[in-house]
Amino acid sequence: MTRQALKPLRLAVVGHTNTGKTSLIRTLLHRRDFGQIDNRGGTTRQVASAALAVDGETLITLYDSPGLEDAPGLIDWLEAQGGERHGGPDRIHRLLTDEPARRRFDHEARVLDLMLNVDVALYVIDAREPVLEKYQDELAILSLCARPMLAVLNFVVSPDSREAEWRDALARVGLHTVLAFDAVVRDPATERRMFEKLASQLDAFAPTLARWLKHREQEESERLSAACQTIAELLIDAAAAERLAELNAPTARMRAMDDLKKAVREREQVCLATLLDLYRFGREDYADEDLPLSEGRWSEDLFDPDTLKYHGIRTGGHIGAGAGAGAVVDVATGGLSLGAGTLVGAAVGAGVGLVRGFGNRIGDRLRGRERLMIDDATVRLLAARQLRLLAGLRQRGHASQTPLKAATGERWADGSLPEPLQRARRHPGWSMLNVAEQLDASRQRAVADLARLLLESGKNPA
Amino acid sequence: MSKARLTVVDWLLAETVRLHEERHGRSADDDTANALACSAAPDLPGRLARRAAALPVASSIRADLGRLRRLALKLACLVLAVAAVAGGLAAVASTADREIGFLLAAASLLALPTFMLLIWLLLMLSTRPSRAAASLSGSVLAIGISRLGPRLLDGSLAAETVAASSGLLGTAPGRWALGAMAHLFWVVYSLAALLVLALLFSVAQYDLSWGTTLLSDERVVDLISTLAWLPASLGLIDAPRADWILAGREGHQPGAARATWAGFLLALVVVYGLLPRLVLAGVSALMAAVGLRRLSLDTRQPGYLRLAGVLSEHQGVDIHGQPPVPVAPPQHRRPRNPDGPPLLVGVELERSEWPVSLPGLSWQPLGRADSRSQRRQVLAAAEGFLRPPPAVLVQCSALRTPDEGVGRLIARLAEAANTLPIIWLDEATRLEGRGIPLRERISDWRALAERIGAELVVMDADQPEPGALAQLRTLLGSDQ
Repeated sequence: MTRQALKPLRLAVVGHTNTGKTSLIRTLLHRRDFGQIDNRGGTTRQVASAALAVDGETLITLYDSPGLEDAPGLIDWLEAQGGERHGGPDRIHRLLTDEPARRRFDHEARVLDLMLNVDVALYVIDAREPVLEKYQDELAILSLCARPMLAVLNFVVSPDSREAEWRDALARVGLHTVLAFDAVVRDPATERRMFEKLASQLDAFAPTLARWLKHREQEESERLSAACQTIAELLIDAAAAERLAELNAPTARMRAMDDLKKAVREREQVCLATLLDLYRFGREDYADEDLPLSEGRWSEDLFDPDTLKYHGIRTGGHIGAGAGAGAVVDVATGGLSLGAGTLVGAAVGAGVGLVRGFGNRIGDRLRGRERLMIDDATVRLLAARQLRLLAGLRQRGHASQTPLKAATGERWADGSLPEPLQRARRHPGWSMLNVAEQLDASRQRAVADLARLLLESGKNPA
Repeated sequence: MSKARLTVVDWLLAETVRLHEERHGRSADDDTANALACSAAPDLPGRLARRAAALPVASSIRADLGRLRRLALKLACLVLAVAAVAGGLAAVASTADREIGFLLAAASLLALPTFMLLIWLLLMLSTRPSRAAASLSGSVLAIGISRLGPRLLDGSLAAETVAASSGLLGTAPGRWALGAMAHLFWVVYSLAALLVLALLFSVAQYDLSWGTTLLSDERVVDLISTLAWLPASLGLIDAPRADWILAGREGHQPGAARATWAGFLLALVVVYGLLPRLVLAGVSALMAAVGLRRLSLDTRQPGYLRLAGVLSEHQGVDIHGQPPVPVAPPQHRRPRNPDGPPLLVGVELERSEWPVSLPGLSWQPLGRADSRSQRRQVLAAAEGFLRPPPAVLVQCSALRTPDEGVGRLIARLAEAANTLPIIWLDEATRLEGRGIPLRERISDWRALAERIGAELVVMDADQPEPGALAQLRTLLGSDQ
């Protein structure tokens, strides 16, 4: 079964110094280690390339180029050379073969040399910049290379963005294929739009680009499924987690409570790290004001009542309504046991976050023990927090994500827990936070059911 | 591209590590393993396996896997011993009396294995691989590993090692392996039964006959002929004739053709008990072997997918062209006998009102140099002085990234006016409004100033700091 090899596309990313060329490539590659980026101009001094490959077959080669720095000077030089107005590539060749000029316009020569050897170029623009003449000079020089070009407006979400001004200026030089693509915003939809625009300009490469888009889409959906499964595992583990404590021994119970809280916190951290890894964000480079996250950790404690409020989790109203573990009447004591008030029901809202668990209540009591579990509100908080993070990761910092976040949180803010989690409440053996027990198939089913629920809520936020 | 083939141990190691990392987070000390994995294998499954094998915890997992293997072997031997005993007992039970009902004996030896075979087929066809093992002896093995395993292992990842091994038995090749085990059980069972029967038939005299209460004799003759067809076709016995079969009727001629009837019974056990199981054991073992060679990791699992990023880094970036050659910075000096006020040029500023005025400073504005024609005008104006001015002050915007074009303009201005160039970095306050760190921008401009041999003063014209103002005054020589 041999498929005809697809024609590989060579794509150059060019533009003025410090417009975000390297970070655009990093976004397209989904790789943080490509090049060195920061706000310092001119960091890239040589052409660097990396491949977008599927199953070992390179479909697209991305070329990062040094920033253009002296287009006005180069225009002056070209004009001084005289010669015909047409035949742009010939004039560029003359520059590239003139050794002193090559040395003088080192960056520009590298970029132009690259331009002559690629199939298409992306011209990256910092949309916060005014349309200065030097940028128009750059466009004029690049157009001498006679390669198809697509203008990419970076930093359009900034309040200083002059997107309209730029679109107008680009239209005037005949560059009508313009795309707003914020490199710091990882938005699969924009990425898709960019490749579609490229495909519409490059008929010969349309199959290549279609293959790449299909691969990206599959990757994205696999990532999302894996993320939902990760969250589902966390929730099942947390919902089924329990600790046994001796009755009427406040210190022992305190210790058991602390132990349970610690275990759940650590488990959440494992989930958070997995999500960041899945979306290839390092702990250090994740910065989003909307999420209380610092250095790869949640900055707010899971068991702090304020955290519940922050995520809009309501705690009242369900206790005693048969909604969750907190509502179960203590069979053995009629709910009147010593210290019950600190644990059961009403106290949940006070941020204790723990309730008496299921299991063999009478048997436990006869043996002088009680079971502790985390309460429904905390499970809901765990879910809302991870889903919020997931939404943020999928579309980092994008202005349009606010309604999505609110909607995903909403499902978990109120009401009873989804059915798979209620099942988990009765199966302490499902939690990896309890003494290591074998994971059985019923746990796997509950995880799969819950992951499906999460996936649906992620896909249809409404 | 050739895919790295995974051995069973590779697979189990990778799965054990995945299960552990999904529960407890990624190993903190995996940098070396990641780097090793990237250089060792071309594809993600291969890299994942290589990474797991290179983690510090791998050796203890390997030791545990060895223990599990030995446990599995012991369990298998136990199961086969049970099979041998059961087969022998079945043979003894079917020959309890010296008068043997041929059909009854055949049924008691063959009914159970055949019934179990049907159940196996049904389970194999109807259940998904991830569910239970499709046979009793397979279940004994699988459950034995999952229950006894944790007690035998002492590695830090014992629970995960057992879970991964159970997972292996749940894959398609694992199921075939358990199937081979089940068939082997019945092979041993049939062999034991055959041996015991042969032994008993050799050392004691049995009368084999058949009888019926409900059926007609012809029916039974037909039945026996049918049963005999396959062994006869295989050449194990001579095809029995109807009158010979009738001669074996109970009470007819007791003990007639004893040896032939005994041989017939043995042949039935071989053909209907031993042979099918032998064939199926072979097929299952083959399927298991082929499947185990093609084992692959499910890279969609979160524990694997999260590593895809890390395991694709460190590779595939090519650098083209020679590194740039550093150039020695030109030297500009303040002229010995300057004349007149310093010159002022504005470059790519965002402010519309220009020139600005600052207390205690005066200059001669030459114009703004934003476009090429303006640059030419300003350069021409800078050349028109008989005696050099004390400095040329180039007011630049911190909003712009410094570039060679501006650098060259400043250098040429200094050359044209034959004086010291000073870069005045303005509009820093607006830059901070954009959320770009000012310090880095200033250091970029400082680097440019050093490259062209210019001085640098950072001062926002809207809110000049006294210190910067004083520095500028000193540089311009206006405080003398």
